[in-house]
Amino acid sequence: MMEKPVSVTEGLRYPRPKLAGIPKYMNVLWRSFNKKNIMLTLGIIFATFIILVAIFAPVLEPYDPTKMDLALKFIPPSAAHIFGTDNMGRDVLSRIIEGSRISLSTAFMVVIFSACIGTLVGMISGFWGGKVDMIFMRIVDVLLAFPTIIFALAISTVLGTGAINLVIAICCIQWTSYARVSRGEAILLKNAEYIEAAKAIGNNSLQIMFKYFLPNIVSKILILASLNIGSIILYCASLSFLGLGAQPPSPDWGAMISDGKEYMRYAPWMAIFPGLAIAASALTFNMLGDGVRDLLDPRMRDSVKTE
Amino acid sequence: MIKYIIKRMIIVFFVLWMVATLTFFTVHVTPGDTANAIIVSVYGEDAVSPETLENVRTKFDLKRPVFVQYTDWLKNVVTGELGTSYKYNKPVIDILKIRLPNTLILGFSAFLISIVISIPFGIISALNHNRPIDHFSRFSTLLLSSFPSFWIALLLIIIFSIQLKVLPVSGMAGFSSIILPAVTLSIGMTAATTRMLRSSMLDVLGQDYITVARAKGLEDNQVIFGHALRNAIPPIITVIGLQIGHIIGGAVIIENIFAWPGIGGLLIDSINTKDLPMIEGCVLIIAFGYAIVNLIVDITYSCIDPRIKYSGGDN
Repeated sequence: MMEKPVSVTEGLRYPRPKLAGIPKYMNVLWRSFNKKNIMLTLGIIFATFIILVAIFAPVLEPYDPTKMDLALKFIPPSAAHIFGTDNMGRDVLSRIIEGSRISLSTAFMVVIFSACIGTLVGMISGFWGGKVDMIFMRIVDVLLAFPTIIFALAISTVLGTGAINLVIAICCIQWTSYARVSRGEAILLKNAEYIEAAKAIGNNSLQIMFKYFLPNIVSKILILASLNIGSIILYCASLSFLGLGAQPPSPDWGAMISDGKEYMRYAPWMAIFPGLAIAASALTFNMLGDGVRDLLDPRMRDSVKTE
Repeated sequence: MIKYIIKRMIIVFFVLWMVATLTFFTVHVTPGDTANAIIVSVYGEDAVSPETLENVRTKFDLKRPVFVQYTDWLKNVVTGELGTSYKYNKPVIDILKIRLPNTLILGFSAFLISIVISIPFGIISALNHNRPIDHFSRFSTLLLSSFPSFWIALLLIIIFSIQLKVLPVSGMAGFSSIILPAVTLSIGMTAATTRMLRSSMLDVLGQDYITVARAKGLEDNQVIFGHALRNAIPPIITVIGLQIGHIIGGAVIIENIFAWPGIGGLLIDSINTKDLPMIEGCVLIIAFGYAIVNLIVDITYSCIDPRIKYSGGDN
């Protein structure tokens, strides 16, 4: 029997950093359709649908979402107004479609900003260690002492209401979970041989963080972000329900339910349908998150959802 | 073990101090004049004039430098003196003392409901892995964790209070009035705990010592409750700790909807009326409570998990 020829240099090469760029993920996502990852498949289909609705909102709305006509108020769901009309005679369906833009974009902004800030802080903290690490981690400890909603409420009293302030308020707490994850990964990677090699060939700290750490942390961060979107949608909705989000007349799902609360005896559809929209999008992104996690890290199945 | 607890206590004290500091500066750097805010919250927009502003500044000692105000405030917090509410014109601590038990009752009921539901469901789901009941439980927990709690609250009000007229819409009068708020508040935690217990049980049931326990002829009940469940509990405690934070945050919204006279409703009211000492009091008491709950969770965890017990919690 012939032995398989062994390359002389094989065992000597440094393990290469796994480069996990976006195109590779796209490829993996496509392959998931063949596998039995139902959550991911459904998640992708529905998420695409919801995002398309938000993008093409002006084309899809049957009526002008902000046009008031008191002659048409409180019309129950019917053929002309599928989801009925509200106390100002505005079409609820049109408002839900228009509201998807604000509600989804605030949620995405929160996730993107907190992921970027958290990853950066975590990497710096884990890489440098020592005092920098201690200071950052104490800040994280203090912020985690507040339930997200409470801290966001406190921040909102300072900044005032509005969609942008809502994003800032939620980001103030949310970045901490990304920071913890990327710090943990950075500490694990810090002593890897290829990082030593990278140092030896003269990379500076910044280069090491962005060229060698980041590609290895990305997949963990992506999992966390995709699991996070669903709950962020709910946080945004809760805060705008409390009147801290986008201000009237711009339609926002949480605020629509808050308006509907006043009329739930006579016009329950005013609160029911925007709630369904929130639930459907949160469910979609939760399925997507579960699917992405199963795909990228099967060991993390059903593990703790971060706050 | 003792070393670990002491270490945790020191961190908690530090966190509490920072929380107090952060709360003070967050509320006191509010854009706009504090005196102006007081007048608006007590007498309304029209009462603002140079004289009233001057009077309020003298009355509430707002002329002192911020740092002096901070140190005085910190001393007062330590002694439990949280200032006087602008709106109620009573000591904040007195109002909090009346409101806090209501929130505790609500939170504790929600906690009990979710434990009572999630533990059996988690176990059943894990024991029937990939059978219909497991799929049902997975799907329903995913569904429930996607519903906004305030929307479920409204649906329950529409069904049980408006249509069926069996439960009161809001307020706090007798046992029937706690059902809807407590059930709504428990949903998020129930879903999360069920999911976690299911996967944790599945992990444990695949371990060798479970096979050994079965092989030496133990009955199913002994294997499940004596061996599997005990080992599946630690991750559950972490989830419960996190979920208590959700319950506290959720209480703010739920109390607001059901007009439940607790801390959460008070917080929203004070934010709307810009009642600064009241906001500070509410945020402080919530953050303190949460920090203490987390401390208890960590200590419980360390009692259960020997790895922490012996390492002194360095990891």
